[in-house]
Amino acid sequence: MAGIGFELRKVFAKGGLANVFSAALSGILIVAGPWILTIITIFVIRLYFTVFNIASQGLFQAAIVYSFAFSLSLFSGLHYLFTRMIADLLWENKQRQASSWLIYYAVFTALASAGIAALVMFSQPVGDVAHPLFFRLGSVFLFVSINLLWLVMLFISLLKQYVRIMLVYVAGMVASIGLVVWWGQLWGAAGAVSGFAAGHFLIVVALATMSFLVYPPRRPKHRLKKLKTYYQKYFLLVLSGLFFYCGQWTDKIFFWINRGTPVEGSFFRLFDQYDLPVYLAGLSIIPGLVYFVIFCETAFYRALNHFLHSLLTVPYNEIQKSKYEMIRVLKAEVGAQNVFQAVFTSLGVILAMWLMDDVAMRNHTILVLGAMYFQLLFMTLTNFLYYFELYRQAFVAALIFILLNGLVFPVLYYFLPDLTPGLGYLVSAFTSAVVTWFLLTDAAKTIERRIFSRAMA
Amino acid sequence: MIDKQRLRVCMVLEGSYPFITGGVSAWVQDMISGLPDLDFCLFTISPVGGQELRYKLPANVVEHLDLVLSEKIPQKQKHPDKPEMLKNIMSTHARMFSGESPDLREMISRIPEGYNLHRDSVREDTSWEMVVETNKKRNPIYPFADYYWALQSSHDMIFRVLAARPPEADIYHAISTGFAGLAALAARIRRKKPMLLTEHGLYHKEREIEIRKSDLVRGYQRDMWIKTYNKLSSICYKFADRITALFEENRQKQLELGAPHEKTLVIPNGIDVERFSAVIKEKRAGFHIGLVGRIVPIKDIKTFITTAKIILDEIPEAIFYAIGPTDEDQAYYEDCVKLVESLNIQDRFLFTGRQNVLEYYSFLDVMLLTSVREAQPLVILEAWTAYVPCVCTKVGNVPEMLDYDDRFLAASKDSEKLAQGIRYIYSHPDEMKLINQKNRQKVFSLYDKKDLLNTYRSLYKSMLETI
Repeated sequence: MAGIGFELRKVFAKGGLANVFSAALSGILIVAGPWILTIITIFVIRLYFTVFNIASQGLFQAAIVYSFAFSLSLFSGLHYLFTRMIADLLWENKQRQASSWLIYYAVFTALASAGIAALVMFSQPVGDVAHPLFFRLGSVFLFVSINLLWLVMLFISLLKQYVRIMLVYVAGMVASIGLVVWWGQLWGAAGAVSGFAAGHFLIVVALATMSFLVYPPRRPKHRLKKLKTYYQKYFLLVLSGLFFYCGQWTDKIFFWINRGTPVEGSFFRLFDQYDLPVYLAGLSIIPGLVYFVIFCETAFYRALNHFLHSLLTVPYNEIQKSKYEMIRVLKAEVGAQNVFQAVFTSLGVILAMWLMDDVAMRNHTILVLGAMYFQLLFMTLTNFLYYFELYRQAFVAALIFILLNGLVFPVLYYFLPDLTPGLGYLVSAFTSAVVTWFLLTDAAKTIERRIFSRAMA
Repeated sequence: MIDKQRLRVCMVLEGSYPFITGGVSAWVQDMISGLPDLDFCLFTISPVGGQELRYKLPANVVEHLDLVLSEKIPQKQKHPDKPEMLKNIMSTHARMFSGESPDLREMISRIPEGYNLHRDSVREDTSWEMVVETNKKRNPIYPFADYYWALQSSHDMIFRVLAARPPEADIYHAISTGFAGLAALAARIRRKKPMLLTEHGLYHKEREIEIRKSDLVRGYQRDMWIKTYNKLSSICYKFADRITALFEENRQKQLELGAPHEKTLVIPNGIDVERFSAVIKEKRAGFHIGLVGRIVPIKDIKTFITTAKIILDEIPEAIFYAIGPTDEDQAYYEDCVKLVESLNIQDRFLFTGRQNVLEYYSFLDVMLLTSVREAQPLVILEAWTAYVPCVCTKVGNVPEMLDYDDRFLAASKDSEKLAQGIRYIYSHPDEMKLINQKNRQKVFSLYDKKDLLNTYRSLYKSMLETI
């Protein structure tokens, strides 16, 4: 996303409240668009369901949460492969081929996600929901739409049309909420889920159309061979992405199964005491994410570019200088981002302590706020590992994360029922962030050697 | 299955037989066919795989192993003592660059056959430290990348060759220094069998000329490649058991680069004198001038064409033939065709393609050699045997072959002087008859292939006895 980051940075640099607000808002929507859209929609619609006393609110919410959780857990590896391929095509100035690859990946994602969702939704009970067939189909549609949205999101940084992208999101959010309200009145949860899915799908269609208008697709040659080559070459990248997102969701899934309750007689299970803190705490890292896209990543990208250029053009001692300058920028930017994010995380902790009466939920929220803080750091550092193409290190860090949050702590939670939910997530995110920091700073010291030997091998 | 009764010679070749036609390749083909009592195996070093064979391999070629330098080899083998091996390589390298001549025996014996040393050379800390240290000393002000690419690409090839698994043989006969020489040297050390080195041209000198002409090799890379090739040649001279040159001048140059005096000897080229002397001359209308050789830049066909233009202005009945394959450097051939057309001599200038040269020797009046580089061209000997006089550029052993007779010699690219030689032949037919006779006698007495074959047969046998 460095491309869009530079665009936003330019707007920021112009100064003025309007520009700063515009860049910040665009950053928020681009880095966390679907997420924000979902959380806001859920809260709006919860309110609406409660006010108008519409049945099956839980089912609607569960369908959305499950769609997000499993779309990221199942398809994140594919997203990483797609991002890598698109980045390479951009580097080669083959934007039109990149457009074609968006179509191939989208078709595959749509078919695979539709198959998986259909298998689950048509084999499991959905309780007493009105229009059950419509609800099942709507849920499948939602899963497909969300998966497609992730994919298109990865592609839109190509466009650098942040104002249009922002407008599409806002329009999509409005359409989504409107459709949920409208169809929810007509068909209850089935209509609400379908309306929500349709809103997402409209965003997908609009963003994809924008992409294709700017870069009309051009069919690449040897598609299967290229895909196979990429998969083999970037296998560890795929695994690191998969483990990162699976690791993020495994503790939540564990709590749904182990401590959660079934939602209105359906196969869905939720654990509000942990789910709600997770959604709220999730909002706390949006400032950090925006900071990352606009400042941290762009500053690092400049230093990295300077370093990479020096590899080819200057004597060895000059290369060393630009390398240590890049490491300095990296450390300084990560430090600044940490401080910036710490302000918002602390604010979240204060708000939780102030506003939450339920002690358990308050404790969960504080722990998850901390966990999210370190997960943001973990993600930031992992991104830098990707910039250096240190996929093995990224894989190791993600493996530690999933092992801790998805295996070690679930076992501990199982045998120690008093262990507070969120603690495992915090320890896992902290440990992974620390490990990633050491892996990154250690590898960065010898990065010129790694790049040369990689090119030669 | 190796026939223990028959002597087995492994010819180690680079960039020539059996994939590329030319003087060296023709020599190898003649050697193998002329020594049917010996078995030969070919150990060729190629830049790319799947090259088409340009020669039908004689029946006594029992094995052909092609080492493709561009092929990636997976690292399957674990080295039992990698740090020690790398340490040894580093110390050998350091000694080599400090002007010493280190003993390569220990280093080569530490590298297992088929081992992918290239991977270690770019991945291991020790290797990187060596690159950085040597860069500091030799390349402190130029871009590091230039040094790194040059060092790695040259050493990648060296490592591939050093670690190659050579065919089994009784004698390893390298037909040049460079990578072929290095492969033969490694085989000599691994198999403890004698190594014979035959040089037609001088590999390091030829490479140096190419490097200096190339726009692709720049900065430090240029010096490094030249030094590397020189070093490879001097190492080959040091380790070869016998070293042969085609003529004395080259032997002197080998000595200059460290070849031990007692190991060197001159064995000139030889041709099948019976075959070429059987050519029946026929006088055809017109004046026929030929050039036998591949249509490639080294033969400088463009100078042949400009010479033709000069001659045609004075001798309109002259006809020119470029007799040789045109497919080796298609772009160059097309350039030559365009030049012929632009000089408007296409009616009198023919590109014949690959032909039976005997047919042409039967009616050619002059054989022209315009090469910018040669060793001891067989075509001169062939032409002389068929009573065809030659006008040549002063390259390699050519001046000595022509007894430094300035009437028939010209500097490279000197079309006017070449034309002068042709004019002399055209206008002195009686004198040329005598000269042709003398030239033919020279070939019979000095350049008979039978002598060449017998000399090599004896040399092989004597080397086996001495090891």
